[in-house]
Amino acid sequence: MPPYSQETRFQELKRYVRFEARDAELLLAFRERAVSEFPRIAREFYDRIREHSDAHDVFTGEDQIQRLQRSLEQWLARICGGVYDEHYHEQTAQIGRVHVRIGLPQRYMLTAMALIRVSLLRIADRELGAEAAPTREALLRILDLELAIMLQTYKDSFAERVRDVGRQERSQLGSALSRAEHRYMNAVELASVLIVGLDPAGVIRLVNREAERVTGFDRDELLGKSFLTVMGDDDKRFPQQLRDGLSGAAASQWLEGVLTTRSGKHRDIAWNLAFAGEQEGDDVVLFAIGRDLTDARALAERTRQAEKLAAIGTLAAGLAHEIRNPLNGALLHVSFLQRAIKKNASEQDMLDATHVVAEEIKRLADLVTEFLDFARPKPLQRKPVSLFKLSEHARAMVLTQADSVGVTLICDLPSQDLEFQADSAKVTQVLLNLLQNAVEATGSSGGGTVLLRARRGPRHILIDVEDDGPGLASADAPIFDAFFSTKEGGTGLGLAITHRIVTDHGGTIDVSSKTGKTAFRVTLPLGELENP
Amino acid sequence: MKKARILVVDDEASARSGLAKLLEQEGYEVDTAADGLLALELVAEKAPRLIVTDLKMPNMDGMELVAKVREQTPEIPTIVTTAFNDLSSAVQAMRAGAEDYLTKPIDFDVLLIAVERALQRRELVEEAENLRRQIRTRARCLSRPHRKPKRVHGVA
Repeated sequence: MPPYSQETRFQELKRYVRFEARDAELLLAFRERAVSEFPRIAREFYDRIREHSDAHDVFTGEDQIQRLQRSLEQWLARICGGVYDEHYHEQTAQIGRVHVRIGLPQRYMLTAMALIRVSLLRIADRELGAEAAPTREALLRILDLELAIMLQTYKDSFAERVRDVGRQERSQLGSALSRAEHRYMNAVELASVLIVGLDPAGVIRLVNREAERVTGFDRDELLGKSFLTVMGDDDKRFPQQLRDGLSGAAASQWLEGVLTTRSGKHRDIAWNLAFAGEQEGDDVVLFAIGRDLTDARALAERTRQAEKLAAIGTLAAGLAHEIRNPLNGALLHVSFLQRAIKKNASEQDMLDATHVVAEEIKRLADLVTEFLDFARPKPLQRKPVSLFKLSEHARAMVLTQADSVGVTLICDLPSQDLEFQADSAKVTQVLLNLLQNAVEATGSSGGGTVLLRARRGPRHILIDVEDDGPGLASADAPIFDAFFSTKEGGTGLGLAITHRIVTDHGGTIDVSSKTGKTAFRVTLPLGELENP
Repeated sequence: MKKARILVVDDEASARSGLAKLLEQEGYEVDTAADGLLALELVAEKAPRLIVTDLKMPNMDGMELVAKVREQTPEIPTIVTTAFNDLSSAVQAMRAGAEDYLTKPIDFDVLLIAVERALQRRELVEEAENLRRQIRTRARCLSRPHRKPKRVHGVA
């Protein structure tokens, strides 16, 4: 016999009920005497089962019962077969598994086994009489073994089911968890608000994509930093409100802050500090949810601007008429003076003076016209334009002014003239505006150099106007907006008109400025020329 | 020799006097009126060769004046000046019968050309009319050639 530790389950069971070789011999001997009665036992057994509705329900029909009856006969022959090895054990276990599968309640198996026991013991008593005792014991042992094996299959199946249910529940729970996590993560990541999670010390522990985008900082750069230093320490109330938020003293509060992005730009953010509270395993106690108001404010500002312009537009027409009438009178009288003086050749100075007055009046009239154009722009009149003529024209118009304030005007043009499709008068005005601005800016700081450079790109013409003046006061200044002016006596329309003319042409205008160098770059499409 | 008589109509005093001085400087005789009604009186009284009129005026505006002149004295050409940049008022004035239009502020050199051209055209029209009249007179004479010439001849 194998040592206990290496026993199979069946060997262990046999040892427990003291089922020995002698029992096997007795059972085999018993079969010789009883086998003719097995069909009767089986029949009686199933007759009894038919009397019980619960047990009967398990069966699907008479055919099946007939089949089972035969199986029972075979089983009876088997348990008295004299061979009780592992194969025997497996066969019994298989029967048990079938019982489990068809859902036969255990109590029926026990009572069924009792019925069979009584039948078999009666046969033993009748056949063996006084010598029946050892065979009775052998029968009781083998039936107990059978019962033990079959019950074991019930237990195994039950344990298996419990394990299955556990696995299933765990996997369901796990997938539900990961689904929820995924959803929340998406909600946080895809939200078009800044979401920042803070630990009790106000250190950033969570950052969403929008926060990265708005700040320009990467997640790794933000995590571990103090919220205050990154998200805005401008507002003096901010630190106190943040402390209240972190301690839970205030469950939810609104505040505004100015955030400095990686590139040094400022963004206006409306924050909602929502206290989440301390939770085991999570160091985030406060969520700061921010909305970037900068663009909305800029839009509102532009809308206001547009409304302002519209109001001015309606005024402009009337105003232009009213202004041009006196200008008309003045110009006519100056023209009269000019003509009167012209007849006297010695009065050159006076003639020059009246000429200047006449030119100034015309310029003023042009300004009124431009004003009107800006308020109610007219469509472009595109024609082939010569870059050389354009540049020369603009240069000549600012030359006197440049000389008078000590500004040197340099033209850097391509070796060959370029033609492009544009509204000549409007593009001239663009150059004039940029050159005049440059001359004025440079002149105000005691003179310098203004450069007009033009080059041909593949599909564009590039025009740069550079000066070495003091530079723009602020890089962010809305210099292209109407009525933004830093010049004394400026209308605030010059660059706005310039911008509009350039964009109307399908071009772009950009500026870069620092002390000692301000550069405007205009690109204008060459357009479709007959002879490109 | 005195040049043609021109009527200047504008509600703005400075425009009136300025144009008058410039045109007089060029040798024209100039009358001025501050609105369309006064202008029509002067047309009847002075019979100008040409009218230069503003469009926007009180009482009677330039558009109406142009139409009235066209109706009553179609031989007098009119030039309109407008402070409006839009072509629509100019086109409207031309339809009403204006000869030419100018936008304010007026470039006098341009006005002078317009004035001279209008006057020349009027002269040509008048000359053509004269010639037509002469032809008609001659034709009448020729229609009864026998008696009248003889009598004239006899008297002479």
